[in-house]
Amino acid sequence: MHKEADIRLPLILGDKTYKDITDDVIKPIESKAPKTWYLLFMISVVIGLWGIGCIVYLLGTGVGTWGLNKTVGWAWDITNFVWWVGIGHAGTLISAVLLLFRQKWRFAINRAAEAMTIFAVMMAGLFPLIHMGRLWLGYWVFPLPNQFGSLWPNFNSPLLWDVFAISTYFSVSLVFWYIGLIPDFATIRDRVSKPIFKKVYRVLSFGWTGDAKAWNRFELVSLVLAGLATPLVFSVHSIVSFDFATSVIPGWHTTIFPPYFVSGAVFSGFAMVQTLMLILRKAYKLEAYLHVKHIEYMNIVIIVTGSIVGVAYITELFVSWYSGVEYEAYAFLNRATGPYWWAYWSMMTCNVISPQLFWFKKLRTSLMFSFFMSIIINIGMWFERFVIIVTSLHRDYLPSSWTYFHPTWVDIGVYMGTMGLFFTLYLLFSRYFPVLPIAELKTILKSSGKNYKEGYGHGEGYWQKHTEH
Amino acid sequence: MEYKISDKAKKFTLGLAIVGIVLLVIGFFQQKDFVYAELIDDESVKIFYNGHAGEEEQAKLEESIKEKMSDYELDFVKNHDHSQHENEHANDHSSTHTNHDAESDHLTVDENHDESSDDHVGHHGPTFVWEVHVKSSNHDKNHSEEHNVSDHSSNEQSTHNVDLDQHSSNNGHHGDAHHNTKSGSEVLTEMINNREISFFDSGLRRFWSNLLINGFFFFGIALGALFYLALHYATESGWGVVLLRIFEGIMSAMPIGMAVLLLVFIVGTFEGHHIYPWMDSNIVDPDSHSFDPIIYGKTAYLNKPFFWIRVLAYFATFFLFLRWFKKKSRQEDAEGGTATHFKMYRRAALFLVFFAVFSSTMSWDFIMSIDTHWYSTLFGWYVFSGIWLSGMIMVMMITLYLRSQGHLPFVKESHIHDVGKWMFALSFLWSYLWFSQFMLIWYANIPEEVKYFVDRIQDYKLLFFGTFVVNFVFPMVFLMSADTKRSAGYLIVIGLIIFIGHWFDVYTMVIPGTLFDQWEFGLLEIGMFMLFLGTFVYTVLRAISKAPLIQKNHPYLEESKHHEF
Repeated sequence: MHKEADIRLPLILGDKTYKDITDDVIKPIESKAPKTWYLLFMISVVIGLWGIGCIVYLLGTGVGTWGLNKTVGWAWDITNFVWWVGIGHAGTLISAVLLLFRQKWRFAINRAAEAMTIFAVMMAGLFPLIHMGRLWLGYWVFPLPNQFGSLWPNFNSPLLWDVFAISTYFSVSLVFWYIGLIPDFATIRDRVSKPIFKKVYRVLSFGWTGDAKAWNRFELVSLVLAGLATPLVFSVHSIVSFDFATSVIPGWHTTIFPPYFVSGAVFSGFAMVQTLMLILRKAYKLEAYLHVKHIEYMNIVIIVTGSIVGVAYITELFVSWYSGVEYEAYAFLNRATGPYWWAYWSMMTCNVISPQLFWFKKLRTSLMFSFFMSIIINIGMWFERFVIIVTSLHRDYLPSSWTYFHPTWVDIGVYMGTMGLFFTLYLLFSRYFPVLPIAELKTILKSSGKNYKEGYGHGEGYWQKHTEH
Repeated sequence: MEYKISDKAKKFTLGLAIVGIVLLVIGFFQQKDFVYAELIDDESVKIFYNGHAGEEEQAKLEESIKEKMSDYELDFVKNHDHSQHENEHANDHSSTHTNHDAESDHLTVDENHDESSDDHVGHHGPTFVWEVHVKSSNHDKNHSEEHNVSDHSSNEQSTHNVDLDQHSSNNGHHGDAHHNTKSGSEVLTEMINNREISFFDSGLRRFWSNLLINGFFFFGIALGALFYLALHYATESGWGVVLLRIFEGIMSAMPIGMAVLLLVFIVGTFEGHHIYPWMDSNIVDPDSHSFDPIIYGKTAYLNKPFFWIRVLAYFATFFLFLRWFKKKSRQEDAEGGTATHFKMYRRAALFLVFFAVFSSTMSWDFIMSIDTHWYSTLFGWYVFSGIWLSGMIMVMMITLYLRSQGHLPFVKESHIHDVGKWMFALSFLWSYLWFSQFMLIWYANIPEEVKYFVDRIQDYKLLFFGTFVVNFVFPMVFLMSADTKRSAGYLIVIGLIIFIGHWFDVYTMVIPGTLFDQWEFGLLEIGMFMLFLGTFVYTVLRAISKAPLIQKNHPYLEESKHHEF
């Protein structure tokens, strides 16, 4: 028998029943979308289309339309790539790692965070593809026989490892997300009345019957996938960090990169979850399921991962001096005091200093402040990648080739475009998919629901609790 | 819920320690300082030594060679270079390592060394080089004198002609290079390179290095337990409450490790051993022959006063937190209520902040600075993962023991399973960090960095890759299944294997930097490990017996008692 201590705060507020949970989550799907949704959707689509336009122009003209030059060969493109991959970490961490740790508060955010992961990884994947210049030959990254026109790719290259890591991560996350959705799709299928919706959700739910056997397998598959996905959470961003750390460029080659990138990814991912969920809970009136305690937990994850990142920054800085290698030391000195000082200090302020404000309970339980901080961290993590990539490159060993990177309108356009596409997909998801896991929320209602905890519900748990006391 | 340490357990742990002492004492006298031999031709061998050895010791060595080679006629051509003697410290650290035949393809930045030019780079040269001419005893003398004149006429040298006429069992190869049995010079070379002939290591390098290894390993186990306890409070975990007193018991043994580490550091500070090159006043003295500019560049951080400030800060912080947690949990037993719990929750978070910084800097100070030139940003986290895992294995072992004795009625299979999961997961974490650090340095192949692994692969190949394979593959294969994580038999066997595996992990972090290629594994290592293990486990069991095994007023106790999945 499961028991929950009295001092744990309830995870579901209000006097909710099973039916209330279904009603609350499905309401947005059943009702007509509000005007603001259409407005946001239109804006996102327009920005997304603008981005696609930029990509088409870029492919037609060449990568030279980016601001890259001979010294800075990687800039916004890879920065955006790493930024999006990083954001794509939170979903799987929440659904896999927190599942293994039996953290029940994850049910309030896991569905939406997983969706965010999928869309973010899609956006990330775009950048290396565009960077190839010849998008139509993108399949060359796979180890195909030479008759296909490609040369066997270089297995020593971490860029190739990236292809495998990200595609594996994407497919496992997708499967994980979709399997969780199946019972909820079935619930929607059983409720909606419009024939077209009924048909679509019937197909989507794969003929889910909800019998005991199906549930048994559902739980088993979830656990197995969680076990598989956990090493993937580590591997993806570790391999992304190998793109830099296997090189011999001062500022890139440092052994702390893999775990530090993973931590940074979780940090940025949680910030993005925070941004999205704080809007979603308000728009869809889900305050009972996602309340201040959940926000506080997420903020604690943000302090922890942010502090790990902070320790890593300081370790890097210290060891660059301790190493006694002058180039190493210069790379870091140049970061902090060189022409890109503003990027470095934005990164430090946003990622290391400001999350420490969450040590104050008042601040980490304030919704407005959390929202503000989540934006700050998103910006900070973008700067982190920019600092790592551009400031390490722009001053190489030959002072005559020192330069400064200026983004062009195509750089900015492609980046904004991925934001547009991301929000387009996310808005569609939030309209047609259940944004909270209906079935899983029901499993915690009787142990963590406020009404049951306080004893005025009428479930089984009420009596057991009181006979044992 | 009281636990009293049983006589059997007492006898076993203390017995282990006593056997350990005996082995340690025997092992202590087997410490060697290696002499190297290089085969020149069938009749001559070059013998060289880089450490510190006075006339008397050298004479002793000569005697022992003569004794072992009594079948042959030996002729010593000695080349003493007196400029070496003032620089013996440097020899201890660097050049012993580079100065033998297997080293020729080493990627070393700082010590590219040429044996013949030993006047100006004096501190990189050997202490003495002998050329020994070996003949079967019925060989005539004139031949050897020819050699002397042709090879060493200009050197300051003393020639000893040693005639040993007796026991000439090996005859019939007078001046003949081709024969079936080994020539005398080959026999001598082999004997020396197999360590049958060597000096007693007056620096006791093996002893001090092992003291550091065991001190750090067992300190780490206690620290790992303290860390996990703090993590348990800070994350408001419920499942492990019934195990918390075991964590408390293990962390109570921290003073053992601290005391040993302090001893090592104090002796090091007064240059009683040479584990930390940066503590050597010659190396950081710009006027000395053995001055090392790279180490000198690090003195702002690696200097004795600052080092001691840090050491005392680490130990004081950890010890105070440890005491405080123990005190508060007993206070909770007596007073009840949730006030103490929330206080501990907040204090645990504070501890984690200190730990986040100190665990890294501590491993730089204690371990990474042994290979003073080398640096790796990941090192601290890598060491931390090993500490945490070793702590978890200790928790598992003590829990299984106490449970088998019937002392832990509330600890169910699910709790064991969860600790097993931690062992499994942390083994992966450790392997991940091991691989990240190794792969990145191997891949980039930057000389300053890769030297660390080159040394380990050349001289410690089996240990270096062996620890990785054992600590990665064993837990992965045997702890993957849920059933094995619930089976005491599996857990004990696998747990012990990876426990020893992690001891060897610490071993390969320390020894290659202190003994270089001059390492041997024997009674000294085994005995000292047994001594520490016995003492440590005894201390832990005694500490556990000091308090009830259950924290009866812990607010999550009911969750833990009903923890089943």
